Amino acid sequence: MGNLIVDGKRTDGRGLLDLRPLKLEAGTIKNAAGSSYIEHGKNKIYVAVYGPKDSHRYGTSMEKAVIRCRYHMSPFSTDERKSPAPSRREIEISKVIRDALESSLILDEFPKTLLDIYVEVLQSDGGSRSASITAASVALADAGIPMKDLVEAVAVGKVDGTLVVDLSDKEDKEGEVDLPIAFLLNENMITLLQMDGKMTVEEFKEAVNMAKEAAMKIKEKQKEALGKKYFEKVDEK
Amino acid sequence: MNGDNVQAYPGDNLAVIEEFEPLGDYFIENGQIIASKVSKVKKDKTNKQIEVLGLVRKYIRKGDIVTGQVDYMQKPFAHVIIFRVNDKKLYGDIKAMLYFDPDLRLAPFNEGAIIRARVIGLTAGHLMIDIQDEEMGVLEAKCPNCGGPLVKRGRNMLRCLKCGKSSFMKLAPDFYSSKARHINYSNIF
Repeated sequence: MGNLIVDGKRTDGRGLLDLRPLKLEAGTIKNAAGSSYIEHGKNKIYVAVYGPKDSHRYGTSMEKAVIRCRYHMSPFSTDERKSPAPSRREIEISKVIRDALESSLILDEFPKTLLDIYVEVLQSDGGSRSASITAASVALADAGIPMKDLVEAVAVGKVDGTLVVDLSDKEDKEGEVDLPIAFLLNENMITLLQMDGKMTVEEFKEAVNMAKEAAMKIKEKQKEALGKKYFEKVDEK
Repeated sequence: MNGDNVQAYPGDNLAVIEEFEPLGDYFIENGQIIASKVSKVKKDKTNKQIEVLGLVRKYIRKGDIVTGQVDYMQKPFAHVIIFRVNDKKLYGDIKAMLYFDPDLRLAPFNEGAIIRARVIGLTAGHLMIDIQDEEMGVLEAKCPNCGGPLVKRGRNMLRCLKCGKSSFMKLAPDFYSSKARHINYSNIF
C-alpha cells in the first residue's frame, strides 16, 4: 500500500484518468450470429452471440426474447490454473453481464426465443467484467439485435486515497475501492453499478463522472470497430 | 445528419418525429427518431422521409421468404421448422405456423415436406407463414402413402415412383425430389 501512485503516475505509467490500451474488433467468429474480440490492457476476451432461436425451455417469455449469458474464464487465463467448472464468481458475473445488457436491447420483436451470449476470457487482468460488457454490446450490434444504445463499462477505483479510472489487476487487488459501472450514454442510464469498498458521497459522484468520461472514449472505440466491419466493407463494394 | 448515406450506430439520434416520417430500423423515444442498428441513413427532404437502412439482419421479419420442414400437422395449423431465411442459413431453428383449410379433403402438403413460404406476421407470439403466392409451396416431399420418391405429373399433381399413388400438393415452380433424381422413371410410367 502507498506505492501505487507516484508523482501522479500509476505503476504502469498511466495518468489518473487514462484508460489502458483498448483494441476492439467486430465479427471475429464466423459461425456466430454476432461476435467480437477485445483486448483491454492484458484482458483478452472473445464474445459470441447465437440467436434469436426457438426456445422450448421453462421460463420462455411469450412477449420477448430471453437472454442467457455465460461468462467463462479459460483454465489458462490466470496465473495459476483455474478449474474449467463454473465458479461462484463466474456465475455472478454472467448474471451481472446479462442484466447490464438486457436494458439496452429491444427484445419484444422476438417472442418465445432465446439469445445466447458466450463470453470466453482467454487472458485475464483487472476489469474483465467491464471489458466483457463492452465487447458483448458490440457482438450484439454485430448480430443485428435492435438496441437502444451501445453499452460501455469501465471500473473506477480508489488507490492510495486517489480516484483512478480503469483499474489494472494490481490496483484492483491492492486498492481500496473498485466500482465497475456500465452506461447507456444516450439514454443517460446506468445499467451496472457494483461497489467493493467504501467511498464518501462526494467521491462517489466524482467517480461516476470520471467513469462517464471514460465511457465516452470507449464508445468511440466501439463505433470504430463496427464501422470498420460494416462501412469499410460496404464502401469497398 | 444532413445528406445521403450517413453512417449511424445504435442509439444515434437521427431526427425529430415532427420533421420526418421514419422507415426501417429505428425506434422512437421522446419524439426522437433513434437508430436501433448499425445503419446507413437516407434523408428525403422532398417527401419528408428518413430511411434507416440496417446493415445487419440475421433474423426473420414480415415479408421474408423462408424455407422449412413441416414438423407436424394439427388442423388447421401445420408447425414448420424454419432453417433458411431469404436463402441464408438461420442461426438456430425457429418454429412457424402455417394455416391450411381444415375442410379440404387433402392438405396442400404433408408432414416432412420441405416448403418455401412467405412470412405474413407475428400473431400471439407465433410466426405465421403462408404458401399462397405462385412461387411458394412444396419444394420436396415423400409419398404420404409409402414414403417413396415423388415426381411431378401436373401443375400440383405428384406420383409416387414406388407405389404409383397420385397425390396433390401446392407445389413450388421449382419442385424437385432429390431422390427421384437418381431414378430413370421414364420406363416406369
